[in-house]
Amino acid sequence: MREIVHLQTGQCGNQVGSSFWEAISQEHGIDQTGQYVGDNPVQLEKIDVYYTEGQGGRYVPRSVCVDLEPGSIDTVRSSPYGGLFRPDNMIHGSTGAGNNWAKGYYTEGAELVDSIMDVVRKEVEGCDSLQGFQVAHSLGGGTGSGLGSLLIQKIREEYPDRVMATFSVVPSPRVSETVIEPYNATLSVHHLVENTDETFCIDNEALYNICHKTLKMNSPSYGDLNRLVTTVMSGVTTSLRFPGQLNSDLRKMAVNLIPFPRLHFFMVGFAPLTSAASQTFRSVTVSDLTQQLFSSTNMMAAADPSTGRYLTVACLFRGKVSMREVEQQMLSIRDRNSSNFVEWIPNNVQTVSCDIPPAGMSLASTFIGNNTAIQSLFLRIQEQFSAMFRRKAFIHWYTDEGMDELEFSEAESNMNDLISEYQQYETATAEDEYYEEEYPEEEGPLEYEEQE
Amino acid sequence: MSLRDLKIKTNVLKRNLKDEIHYKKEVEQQEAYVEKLKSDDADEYLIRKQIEVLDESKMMLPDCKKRIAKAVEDLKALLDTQNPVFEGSEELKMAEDVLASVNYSA
Repeated sequence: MREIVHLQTGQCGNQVGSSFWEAISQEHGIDQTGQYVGDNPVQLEKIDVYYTEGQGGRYVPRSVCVDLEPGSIDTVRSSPYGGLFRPDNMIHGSTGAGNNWAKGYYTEGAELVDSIMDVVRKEVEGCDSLQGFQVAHSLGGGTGSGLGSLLIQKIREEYPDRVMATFSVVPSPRVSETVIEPYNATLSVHHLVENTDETFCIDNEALYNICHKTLKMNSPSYGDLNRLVTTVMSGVTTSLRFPGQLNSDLRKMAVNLIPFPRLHFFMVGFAPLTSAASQTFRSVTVSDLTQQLFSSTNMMAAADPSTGRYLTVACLFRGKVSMREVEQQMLSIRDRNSSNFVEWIPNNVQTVSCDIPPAGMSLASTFIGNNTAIQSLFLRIQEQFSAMFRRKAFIHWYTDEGMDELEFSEAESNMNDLISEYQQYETATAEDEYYEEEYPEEEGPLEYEEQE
Repeated sequence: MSLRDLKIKTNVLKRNLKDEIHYKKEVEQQEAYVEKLKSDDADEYLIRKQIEVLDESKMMLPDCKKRIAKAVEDLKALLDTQNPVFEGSEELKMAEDVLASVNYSA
């Protein structure tokens, strides 16, 4: 019941994707051979959301691993949990995308996409009641961004009514591989705005800052950054994987968190974040967790939520916590920062609690915010994009693959529109009739309250 | 518009109908659970939270209805085109069967 099909594309997608599977397998008591070795029936109650039960009670991730070169897929295969994946669901090309969105979307990717869709279709046919898809990818390279966009679009065509969620890693010059990342990211954002329902933004710039400043690492590696991504992926999917929670499926999450369909880019955060060295000196309380959750240093997006306004928020507490204490802490943080929350969506803060903590912790919490400050990520990319595009720098890499310059201008203006929409709602007030007339949206928590 | 579109739109309706059955069942189960918590005199905060979960499930029903109505409308509009490629196809039969099973007036 209520299955999700997971896809991971490109090097980054495959790295964070497979560590996501490793983390949730541990949480659900699935060992490296796919056998259940846990001791709590709650672990299995919603196991079919992410796993298919195969022969001999073996749990197989409903995952499709894709890349345009064999390297990262080989790495997944030989990782400790690599044996879990269905070999047929690992698909790779041989040429690579050379960090070029056009190769991922048009040339190299287009050659591979049909065989990937065959596998996706097969997975969907095996589902009893599919709820949607989730894609792990990065926006900076060629495969995750280009082929990722293509796959999202193809899936959308065939399953237009199912929820499409993405975990999208946003590039940063601090952790940069190539100069053309802003191009790839802008072209991808253009597609994400139109074709996804929920995008969890994971910003390399913020990950770097967290590793460097909070966790006191001198030169964080990709492995360090990816560990953060995994914690947050496991965090935001908790309510999907364990019973009895709010936001228990992707559709509910969308209805709860997205008042305007285009504004579906979430800021995510995690607490506690403490360096390995100081961990033993602190015992974590609910109050600590709440403080940290709303602090910009814990956000996996280099954007300060206090400069923007929250349209909606969901906070998820894991471990043995007192619901009373959680509710009180959340109320007090909302009261103290009331100007940070738009007043025209009442009750826009949700709290969820789950008894089962992440592996190796006793208490933890995850944050999902739909905050207008997310625009600063797009602004950052936009500035880098337009600096190059103005001079048509490196455009030939794309036109050589058959792309039209017009697509660049379209992507740029779509992202600019997105930025202004966020700005508009940042300043909108309850009395502002104008916005309601211009955006007569049907979905959103407001309307449902009226219907009750 | 091709047979592929017909199949896609039929499947959209099928899945949304299934969603509705799922959410209806979820509401029933959650109602029973909340009642049980109340009669067991469970923690006040737990009860309150589980009522919130119940309200959330209930909220999905109008959402489903809207989606189903939209899917019915889309599928009917496609059938109204009387595309000759549909004639006698398995896809057409399936579309008509699913439409017939819907007891809403779109």
